[in-house]
Amino acid sequence: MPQDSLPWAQVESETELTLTFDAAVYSLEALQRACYWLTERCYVYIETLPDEQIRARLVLKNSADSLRGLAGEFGNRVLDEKLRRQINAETQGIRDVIVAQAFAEADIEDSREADYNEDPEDIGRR
Amino acid sequence: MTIPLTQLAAPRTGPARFRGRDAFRSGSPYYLLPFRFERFSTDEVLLVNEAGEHIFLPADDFARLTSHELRPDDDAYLDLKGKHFLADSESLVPLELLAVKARTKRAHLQGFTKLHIFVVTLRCEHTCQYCQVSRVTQDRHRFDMTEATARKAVAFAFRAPAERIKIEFQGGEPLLNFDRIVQIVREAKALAGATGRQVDFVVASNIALLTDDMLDFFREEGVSLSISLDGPAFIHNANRPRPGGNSYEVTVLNLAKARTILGAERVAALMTTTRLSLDHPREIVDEYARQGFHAIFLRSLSPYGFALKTARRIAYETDRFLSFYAAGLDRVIELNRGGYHLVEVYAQLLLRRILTPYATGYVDLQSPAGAGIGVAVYNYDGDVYASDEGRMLAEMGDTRFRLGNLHRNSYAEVFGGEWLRELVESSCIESLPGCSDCVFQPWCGADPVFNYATQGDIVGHRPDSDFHHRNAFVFRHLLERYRSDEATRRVIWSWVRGTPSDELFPEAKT
Amino acid sequence: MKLEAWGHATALDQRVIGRIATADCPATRRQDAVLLLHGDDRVSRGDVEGYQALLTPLPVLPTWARGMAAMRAVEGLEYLEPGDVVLLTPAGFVRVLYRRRSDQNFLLVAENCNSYCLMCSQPPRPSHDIARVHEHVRLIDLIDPETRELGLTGGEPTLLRDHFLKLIEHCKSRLPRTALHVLTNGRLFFYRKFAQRLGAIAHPDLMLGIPLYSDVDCEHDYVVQATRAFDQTVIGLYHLARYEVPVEIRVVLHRQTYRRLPALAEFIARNFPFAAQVALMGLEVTGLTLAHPDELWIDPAEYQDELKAAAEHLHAAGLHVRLYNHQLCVLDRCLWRFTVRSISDWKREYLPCCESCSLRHECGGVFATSHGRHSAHISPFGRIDDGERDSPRPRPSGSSGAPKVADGAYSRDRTPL
Repeated sequence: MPQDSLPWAQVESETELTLTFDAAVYSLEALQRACYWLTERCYVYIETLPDEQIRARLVLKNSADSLRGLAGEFGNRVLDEKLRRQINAETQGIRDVIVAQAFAEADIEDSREADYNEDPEDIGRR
Repeated sequence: MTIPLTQLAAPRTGPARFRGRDAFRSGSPYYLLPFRFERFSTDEVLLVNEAGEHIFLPADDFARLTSHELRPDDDAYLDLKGKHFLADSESLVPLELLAVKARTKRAHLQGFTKLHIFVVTLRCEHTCQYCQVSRVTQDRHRFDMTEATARKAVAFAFRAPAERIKIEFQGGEPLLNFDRIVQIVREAKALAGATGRQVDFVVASNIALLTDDMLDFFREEGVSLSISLDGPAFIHNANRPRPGGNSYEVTVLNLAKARTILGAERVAALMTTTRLSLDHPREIVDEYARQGFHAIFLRSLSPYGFALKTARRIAYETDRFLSFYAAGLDRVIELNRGGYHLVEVYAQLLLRRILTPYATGYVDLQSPAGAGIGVAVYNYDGDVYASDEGRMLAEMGDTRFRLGNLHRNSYAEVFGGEWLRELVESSCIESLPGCSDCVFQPWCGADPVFNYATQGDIVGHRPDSDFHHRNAFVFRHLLERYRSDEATRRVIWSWVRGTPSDELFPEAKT
Repeated sequence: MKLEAWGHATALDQRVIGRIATADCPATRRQDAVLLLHGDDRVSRGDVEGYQALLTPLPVLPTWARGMAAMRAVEGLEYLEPGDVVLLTPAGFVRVLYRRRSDQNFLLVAENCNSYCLMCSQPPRPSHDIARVHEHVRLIDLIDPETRELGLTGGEPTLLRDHFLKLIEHCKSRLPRTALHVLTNGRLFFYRKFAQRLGAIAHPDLMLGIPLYSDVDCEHDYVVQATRAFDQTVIGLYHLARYEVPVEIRVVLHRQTYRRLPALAEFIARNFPFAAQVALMGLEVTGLTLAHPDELWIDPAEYQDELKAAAEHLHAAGLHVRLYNHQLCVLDRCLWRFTVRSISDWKREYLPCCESCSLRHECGGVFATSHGRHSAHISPFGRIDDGERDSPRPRPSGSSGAPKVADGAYSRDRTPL
């Protein structure tokens, strides 16, 4: 990952951290999903900024928790959420076929219904 | 000795002309098949596909996989292809196999409601500290199920299209209304015979009041017993007070009698875990082995004793339970390796989901949740609930999970109503926040009643959810144990198959 | 033991298939019989009227036999017994088609094949298979109905299509108590109706032995030398399961298949849990293997790790595992319980060092047909104390181990929906 697209982190206090993300690299959806998991340990505020930036403000719920660890975890999570979106996008169509087929009665392909004597798939030939 | 594939010589051509491997490679770039992932450790990623098959990949292989840089002669490529994480032909066969396997995994949904719980009385002579429902009283009229209610409940149970149903008697202490049990067993068998179906029976009882007549009846009718055993005497009696303070002693005595008359295979035990139990996992496991049980269910703490709708997760309690579970499981494995066949029931369920292609119906951990569609509870007063925990909430004042009443509503109103539909929709984890991307999704489930009781709504909030944390921990823990060594793997397979390890692997040296 | 021989045919103008009989065969059964005449038999012309033909090792026919349909100077087949069935051709060829005493009778019903496996032990030949179907029907008519097991093989039997179905039907009707084991690549069952029709015959004890060589298409297709064979076989397996035809999945182990064996075991357990059994088979170095033996032959001692992992996984997952064509001394001891003495009696032999082996009677020996190729690790066991000896369990000699459907190996609730 190029250095200049790492999120810009700013420590606001012992329990508060701001991260600024480049929206071209980190989608809002990935950020939101990563934030969902952080809500166990902190409060999260997200705002979109001009210049294609997104800012996330994290406030620890428990002051004894580690702010640095939280930021690191957040960064990793965001990247993984981005990957999940990519995988979902690539495989959604196939998942639809699988689910439809799992509940369907008919076979997935018509070629199976052909006459084995006619053998349109040429299975009987070497 | 293995030789990398690329170094194996292509066969020489001659009168017999053979084509090399290249002639049979697709040549097309690969595409991903649907899967979810989680970083299992810094070096490894866990992937699970739609059929619940899993694979561990080194982190760099995973990065190459998702950026489409894996090559067809990489070992990882072939492994991923064989397990249906990627494909490279135009053929629809991989999709078809995934669809068949996904369907097989959901087979338990067929037949609708299979578990029917009959609460024949609320009366009980124990005062267990964790019980939310029982009443110590002689008043039969107020708290016993009537003959008419029982008859209606049996009719409802057989409205479900399942070929085989199970009727479980609960309470209070069901034996206090033994006549009702007799009636229900007889009428259910008659109805099953008339409709060409089968029915199994189990009585959940503290067996303190078990008589020889009751045992004879159970033996004749093939009824099983599920007794309560919380651990050795000091734990069991502390958890389960009764007049005389001798619940443990009476249990052990009547257990022997029950086994003699019914046969050991018809008597199982269930524990309830309290804060006291959490400090003694090994003692509890050892007690089960000492009493000759071959299955133990290390159940989590029930949340239903706490104040309802508490939003705050009591984190340390769950963490204490998970330590208890891990230590208990270790002890169970140790006993198995020493030659005593003992199955931890929750681990067995999850491992069957991980390691086999078969469906496992378990109403407390399935998607959609079993509430109402897998299990139904017919209360002594005719009220019908979506789950036993739903009934408990009602006894504590919240009737949210009541589906209707046997005397006032039709079957269609109870089981076809809007509320049940909403319950089902809200418990399909494929679309719940926090579950929809979870790597354990194909193996896991939802418990909307639990969510409601602990977090205030049936969907629940995953990051704070004890249900989520517990299951995520157990899945991880079981996968780690499975990968740890061969001896543990053999124990695990003996659980999955329900067969003692020395029968399954007679040659193995533990 | 030979199953074929050449002799001199006289007065034989068409192919004859008949049951071996002796001179005391009742007259009513002679039109199906071939009289086996040994050198010292004392018979006369009157004793031999009505037989289809004579068969004899004698170089010259007795005078009273002149003019009769006969095959003489046939050596090596003196072991034949009444009830055995032979084929005699006008060219002087004799083949033993069926032996009543044997547990391993196979009908070769096709010589054509649509695959071309690297290690094919019965290489395909262009042949008018359909023209010979009536001979197989005749053979089935002559087989003793108390025969416990019969095999159908080739080439690829399903290429006979409706004639294949007819043969299965004929076996059901003539040999209802005989278990039928068909070796096929299963590819034509890609067509659903073919599987449906086979299922509809409802043969009481049928098993199809279908090979699968890898968990991935490219590897399997390479081994069988046919594109899309994997896909067709996999769909075929599902169709057969749907119509409740019991299936055994077979894997021949050699240099090109052993590496992914553990992955294949997992693949079978997850995708074909309905398989009645899985047969893991040692290589017979014959047929097409001889064109490239070094690419295929591997000492089985070298793949014990993969074999152990695969067999134990399949077994743990609940599948019935059978190990064929391996010697006990070469196998890891924990695999002994899966072994079956599978090499047919007529091609089984032992090495000189096996003479002193205490487990010889439980071991299947080596292939006489393997042109001398066998493991370098064959060595006799000394006396094994009872304490060490909890396996192998004695097996019925020569049995292929195909389980009957009723033993629960094939469980209805495991079929894919």
